[in-house]
Amino acid sequence: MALSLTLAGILSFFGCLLFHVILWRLNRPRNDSGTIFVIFLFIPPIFAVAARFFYPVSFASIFLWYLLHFSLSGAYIATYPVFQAISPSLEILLIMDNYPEGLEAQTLLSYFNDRRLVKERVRDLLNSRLAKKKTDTYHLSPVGFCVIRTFIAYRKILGLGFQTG
Amino acid sequence: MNSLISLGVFLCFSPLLVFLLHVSICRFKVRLPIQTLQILAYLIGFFPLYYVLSFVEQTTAAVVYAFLVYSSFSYTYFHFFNMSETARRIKILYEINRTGFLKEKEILCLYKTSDIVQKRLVRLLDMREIALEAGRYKLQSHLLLAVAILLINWWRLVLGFRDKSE
Repeated sequence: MALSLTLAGILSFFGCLLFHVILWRLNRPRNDSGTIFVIFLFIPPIFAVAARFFYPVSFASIFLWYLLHFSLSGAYIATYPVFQAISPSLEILLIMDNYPEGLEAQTLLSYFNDRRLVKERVRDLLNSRLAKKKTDTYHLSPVGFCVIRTFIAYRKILGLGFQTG
Repeated sequence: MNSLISLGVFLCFSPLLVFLLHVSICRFKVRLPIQTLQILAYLIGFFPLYYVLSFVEQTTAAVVYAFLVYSSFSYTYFHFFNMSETARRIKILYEINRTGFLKEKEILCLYKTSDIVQKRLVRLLDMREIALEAGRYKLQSHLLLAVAILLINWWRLVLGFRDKSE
């Protein structure tokens, strides 16, 4: 039982991954983060419930299968921003790889551009509808407001403040 | 099957378990790098998981199942935490929330490259990926770099991303 559930969870995750790759190669959606949620988290359970009409499978099995599928998908969704835009941490390591003798912070900084680092993220916020632009000012969307309040509360529980940078 | 469902219910709550362990460790003000505290919380979580697994018929598949779910949830949780630490998107949202609204120029002023890079350098030093010797930063471990080049660049290629900023 555990073996079939484990295999089903892994296979459905890779199935979604394949669908995601095909879709991205054909035409990457503008709201890519939102689309990933739909592909990995919403479509599979619909298929699973529909499959019950053709194949006798218990809700308990569906629950256990979806738990594995959900956890693997969550890990991929959390990693996706790394693929979306090269993170500064990785960029730093890639630059350092060209300097076996090491480099000073000032040299490192010359590789980065203020506008690119921040503007890309502002664009992402607008595309994912977390912020909205009114004339020339940026405001929080209702979703963005909920997201940031969650993060503030979360860090408060951990006993950490919010730092900028 | 019933014992498997119990395991499933426990695993459903495993992110909460890791969160509580993480809160406890953070509240103890342990003087360790923030990434080490996360790994510590993840490892401690294996004790209750092992206890719950002792009630389940311990086939290899059941152990693999539990390990995959627990590790994936923990990994996602730590990404969530890291987002609150360094993600520029979250910082921008925080500043907009604090001030009500921001102009593009103000956002650019808030996030100086030097601050962004400095914060990452501290984190990479903590993780011992780089070292600081006589005022020069050097690559110490090639592990993260190998992962960056091989996995990330390869997967970006598979997804059809063309340039860095895409």
